[in-house]
Formats: sequence, C-alpha cells, structure tokens
Amino acid sequence: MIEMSRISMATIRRMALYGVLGTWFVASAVKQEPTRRSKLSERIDPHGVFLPDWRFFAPQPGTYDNHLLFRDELADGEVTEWKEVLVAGERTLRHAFWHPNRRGEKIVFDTMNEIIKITQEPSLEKEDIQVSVAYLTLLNFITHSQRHAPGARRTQFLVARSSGRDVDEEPVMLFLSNRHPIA
Amino acid sequence: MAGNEDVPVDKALKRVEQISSLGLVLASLEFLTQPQVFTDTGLLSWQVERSRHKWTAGKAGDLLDYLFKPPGIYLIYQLRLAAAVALVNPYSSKKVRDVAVAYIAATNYLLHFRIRYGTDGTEHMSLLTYATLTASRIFANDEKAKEACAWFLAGQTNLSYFAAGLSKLVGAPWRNGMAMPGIFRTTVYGDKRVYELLKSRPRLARAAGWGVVASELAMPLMMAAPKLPAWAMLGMGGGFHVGNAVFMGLNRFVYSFVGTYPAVVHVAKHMSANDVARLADFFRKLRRG
Repeated sequence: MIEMSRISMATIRRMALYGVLGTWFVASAVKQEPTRRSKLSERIDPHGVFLPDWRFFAPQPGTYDNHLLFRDELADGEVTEWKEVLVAGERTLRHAFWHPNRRGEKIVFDTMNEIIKITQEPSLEKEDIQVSVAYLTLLNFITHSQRHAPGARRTQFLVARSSGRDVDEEPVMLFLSNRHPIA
Repeated sequence: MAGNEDVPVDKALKRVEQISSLGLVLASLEFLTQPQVFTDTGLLSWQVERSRHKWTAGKAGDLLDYLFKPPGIYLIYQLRLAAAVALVNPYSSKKVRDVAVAYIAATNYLLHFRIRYGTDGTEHMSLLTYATLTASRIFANDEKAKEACAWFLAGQTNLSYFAAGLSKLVGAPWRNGMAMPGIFRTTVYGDKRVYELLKSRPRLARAAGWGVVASELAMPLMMAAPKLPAWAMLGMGGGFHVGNAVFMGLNRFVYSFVGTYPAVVHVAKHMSANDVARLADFFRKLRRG
C-alpha cells in the first residue's frame, strides 16, 4: 500500500512537470506570432519573464544606428558643440571572444529605442517622457559620467539616427531633451 | 540524477551545464570588469531603475538596495562566476552542481528584474536552460522527468530557429534582399567587410537573406534527419552562431544556444515514432482536461 502511494505520488509529480513544461512550450510557441501584430503575449507576460522572444531581427530588421549626443550650457548662456557618447568602434576578431564594452553600447541602444518608442505615443507629452526610466537613465549617465565643459551649468542630450556606414542618407534628430542642471 | 554519466540523459544535461556555464563565466567577467555600470551614476543605476515601480520606489524597495546596489550586486556576480566555474568543471560533486544550478536559475530571474536594458536572447535562453536544469535536478531519480526536461530544452532551441525564420519570411526586407546590407551597414550589429561585400551586389544580398530564412526554418528537420545530415545541420547552426559572434558582435549567443545542443542531440538520437504519438496523446488528454 505504501509502495503504491509512493509510485502514484511520483507519477503525479511527473505529470505536473509534464503539464508545466508542455504549457510553457505551447505559450512560448504562441508568442512567436511572426508579424508581431498580436499583443496577447505582451499582456500575459509584459516583461518577458517567462516567454522568450525568438523573432530576432524580424520581421523588420533594425537597419539604423542610434546616436547619443550631449552639449552643455555655459554661465553666459552659450552652448558647447555636440559631443557623441559611447561611439562604437570597428569590430575586431578579439570581440568574438571578449567584448565587455558591448554591454554599455547595448544599454544605451536599448534606452534610446525606448525613448523613441515613447515619443511615438501620441498621448504623451515631453514632461511624461522625462519621468520614464529610459530618460532618467540617459540623463543620469550624461550628467554624472561624462566630462562637462568648465563652468557648465546645464546639460542637454540628443538622440539621433543614422544609416551607419551608408553615408548616402542624412542623419536625423529624433529626440531633444530639456536642459537640466548639472548638480 | 544529472551526474550519472551511464544514463544518456544525464550525460546530455551535464554537457548542457558545461557549455552554457562557459558563457556565464564570460558574461560574469564582462560585468565584473565594468563595475561602474552598477553605481548610482552608471548606466544600470539601481537608484534610477527602482523608480520604475511604485513598490520598489517606496520604503519596501529600500531593502532591495542591499542586493541591487554595489557591493551587493557585485557579490551576486562573483557568486555566479564561482557557480559557473563549478559547472564547467566536470569533477564538481553532485551537491556543488545542485547548488550552482539552483543559484544561477534563481539569480537569472532576479537579474531579469534588476536589469532591463542591454540584455538579449542569450539571457532568455539562459533563463530557460537553468530553470530546466533545476527541474532535472529536483527530479534526480526520475529518468522520464529528466527526459521531459531535455525535450523541453531541445524544443525551445528548435522553436527559436523556426520562429526566427518564419518571422523573417513575413518581413519584406528579408525577401527582397534589403535586410542583410541594412543590418550590416550599422555599427551596432554590422560589419564593414560584410557591408562592403553586399552593398553593391543585390543578388548576393538577396540570396544571403533567403539563405538565413531557409536555414532557420529548416533547422528543426535535424530532429528527424539521418545521422550525417543531422550532424551537418547542427554544425551549420554552430557555424551560424560563430559567424554572428565574429561579424555581428553576438559573442555570448554561441554558448547559450550551442549549450543546448547536447539536449537536442540526445532527443534526436532517442526519438521514435512512439514518442511523437505519446506526446500527441498527452496534449489530447490535456485539452480534454
């Protein structure tokens, strides 16, 4: 009798595992809707904790570079030249094995994409964007981790987009922040 | 248990641990050599990130400061590095491997919450891999349960290629040859040499785009293919990831995706028509409740 109940408990546990893994797999497959028009899985798992997104570079691949620039406002109201932050260098073979700077580049790339996405929300004002984590991340980084001009009082950042190595297309400005005091 | 190499599924899952953990060694070292990103003024400042949710911004969130600000966050990564090294080492004891797998699985989810920018498919494959490996260790004495874990992981790997291929197929740039030169012209995911090669050769660019789509869609066929073509396809998958590392800067993808291949090989080797019928039967029963 004891042996029987032990067997059945093991079977129940295994069946539960089958259920969890099976459901997880089916839900993962449903999320991969190829056109990205369906927002169902985003509602179920908004932060992508459980369901992976395997639709890499698809259906529309990213074909632009984002650029983060900043300038300072001096005490007399003049502004400095724009300066680009975290400029990605040419790839080398070593980067295939070891590329710690890549993470920083990707963080800035993701935050800029999020800001661009927020600006496309018609209901949002610039003031709303200013309290987004993406905006605060870039502002915090620009304010405290970049070298500012001597006597600078305020700083401002700019998100621009270019076609990278294709020089035929002109870069475009996508988002200009307000000017913020340099604490 | 996952550690007795006489049992094929144990052998396969141990290889998964070893290869995937090699990627985690690399990822941990990459983070630990860039400690400034986690400071209050860094790109992954917790002070900023915690403002995302009401509960983390408030007093209850103060407790998380110990974990998510330096030095707590550094300790998480140092221990992840130690755990990953233990899993790469084939001579680590079962107990050490149990703890290491569970720690990596738990901190994967913790870090998914902590770090919202700069992550990619590598992290997601790692979430799935270590959750599955933890399950396989919980069911250490149940071979069928461990087989299910290997099936799940192999299924996710096949799904990842097929979904990537299918989604590309519906995207016009992949069909008309604009995708590859478009991606490779960027500095973030591109490469000057590949861009130079493709930009003035539209036919080559189109063939390359279709080649990626077709290869990704075909990958799941390796599960049913005869031995030689199946190994060739697996080699092609590995080569694809190495190419992405060299030319697109996606270096950590190699370990996380190729890391699941031992599970894929194991399932493909031991899959039979009966298994497929049993799986279909299971889903039928599930649907009926």
